[in-house]
This record gives sequence, C-alpha cells and structure tokens, in this order.
Amino acid sequence: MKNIVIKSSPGEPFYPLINFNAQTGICELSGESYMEDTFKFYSPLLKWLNDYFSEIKKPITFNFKLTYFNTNSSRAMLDIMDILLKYENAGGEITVNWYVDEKDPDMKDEVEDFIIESGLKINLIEF
Amino acid sequence: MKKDNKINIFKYYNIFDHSVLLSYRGPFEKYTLLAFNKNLQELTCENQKVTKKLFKVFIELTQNISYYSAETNSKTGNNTGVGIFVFGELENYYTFTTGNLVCVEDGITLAHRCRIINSLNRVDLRKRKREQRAISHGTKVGASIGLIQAALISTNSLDTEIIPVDNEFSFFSISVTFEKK
Repeated sequence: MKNIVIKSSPGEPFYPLINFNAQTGICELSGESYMEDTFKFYSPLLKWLNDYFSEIKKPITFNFKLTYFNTNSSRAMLDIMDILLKYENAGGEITVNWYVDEKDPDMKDEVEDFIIESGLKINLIEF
Repeated sequence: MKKDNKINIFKYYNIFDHSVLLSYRGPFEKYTLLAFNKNLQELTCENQKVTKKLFKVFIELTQNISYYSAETNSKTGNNTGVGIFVFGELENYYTFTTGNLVCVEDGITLAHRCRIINSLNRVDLRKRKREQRAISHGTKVGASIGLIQAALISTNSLDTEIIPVDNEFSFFSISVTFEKK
C-alpha cells in the first residue's frame, strides 16, 4: 500500500500538508485547510484510510496539527473521525491526537466540539 | 464603458472616511482574497489575537460570497461570486463588513438564521453548529455554519441588514466586530 505525501506550497496555502504512512501507521494533517474543492481533496484520503483498515489492519495514530480549517473542511474532519471510530468499534487500535496552540481558544473549542460530535476519544495536546 | 457611464471615483472615495483601512468590490476569487487576507494580517499585526480571529472570519464570510452570491463573474474561469468588503478601524475595535446580492427568498432565510444566531449564547451556538454540521453530511456545508462560526469567533452579535433591490434581488450585508483588548 502506497503512502500519501502532499507537501504544502506557499502559493497555495488552502491545502494542508499530508503524510499518511502505511508502514508506520502514523497519519498527519498539518497547516491550514480552506480549499474550494474540499470533497475532491479529501476523498482520496478517506479511501486510503478505508483501504488501510481493510488491508493492513494494524494500529494507527492520527495526528491533527491543523492551525486553521474552514467549515467545509470541518465536515471532512468528521468524515475522517467516522472512519476511525468504525475501525475502533470493529476491534482496531487507534490513537487520535489533536495539537492546539494554547493561545488559540477557538481551536480548543473546535476540538471539544469534535469530541462530542464524533464520539471519538481525542487527546487534546496544547503546545 | 461609454464616457457618459464614467465612474465618479471621487464620490466613491468620499464615501469612505479615514477609518477604512481596506475595501474591495468585485469577484471574490481565491487568489485575490488570499492577497487581501495577507494584507489584513499586516494591518492588525500589533494585535495577534485580532489577527487570528480576523483571518478566520475573513475566510468564512468571503467564501460565502464567493460560493453563494447571486451576482457572479465568469472572467476568472469559474463563476465566482461578486460582492464587497470593507475593513475599518475605530478607537477600540475593528469592523469587517461584507455585502452581496442574494435572491429575495434567500435574503429572508439568511435574516432569519442571523436572528437565531444572535439570540443564542455561546454554549447554544456551539450546539447549533454541531447540529447543522451533522445534517450537512454528504453535502457541501451551507453558509449557515459559516455565519455561526463568525459569531463564535468574534464573540459579538452579527450586525446584518437586508436592503430590497428589486423583485428578484436583495442586498445582504453583515458586519462583524473585533475588540482590540
């Protein structure tokens, strides 16, 4: 199974940096996410997660390191969480970490809302 | 453009006083908005708290216009929504105001949603955002959540206005305030 690596570009800050590694089981989303084509961008990532859980079936650590995401992207975050929760409910081992700048209380509220909304255990890590 | 339709730029200039730091009217195209947002960050760099909040509200409100304005411009390749924004600074706060044409019925819906948003406290506003996001599953998240988000981030009420234009369209404006302290 191939890894997904998408580097950020200064001229296109709408897209986050992606690093999904099938060998280590570590997935990271970082930077900002406010693109126009949200569904098109996130669909391959959702497919990758579903494929990982059906083919690799190993533990996974998902690190959210986003400093900003718009409301359309927040829907995509929930779709990711839905897939992670389904894997966990089926006996899979998952760890979800969300890194939040301690000077950004709005982001902390966002993560707390995601915890309520998704039913997923998310470790809120302030830095 | 015909000569007799010449824009009175002086009249346009005089509408704005010195409190206006930045304004724009035209298609809300993503690279144009990116440049303006960068400029707004520089204009408010002395107050990092406002800078961060303004960045987020700017994206939500301008993307609403880009996606949902009833007036569009296709010169940039896509049908990009057309609107206006004004960013101003007063002694104790900044204001960010956007405006765009909407269909009359959409204007009524937007005004209703804004009344609901302004009637809710922060806890209930967050609850409403979660509910709205949940029912948007599998679809593009509508403008409503962006407005909730703007109210949550600014921590102030949304100042909105609907101005009738004709039988088909209204002009919808929304103003968000950010305290400097």
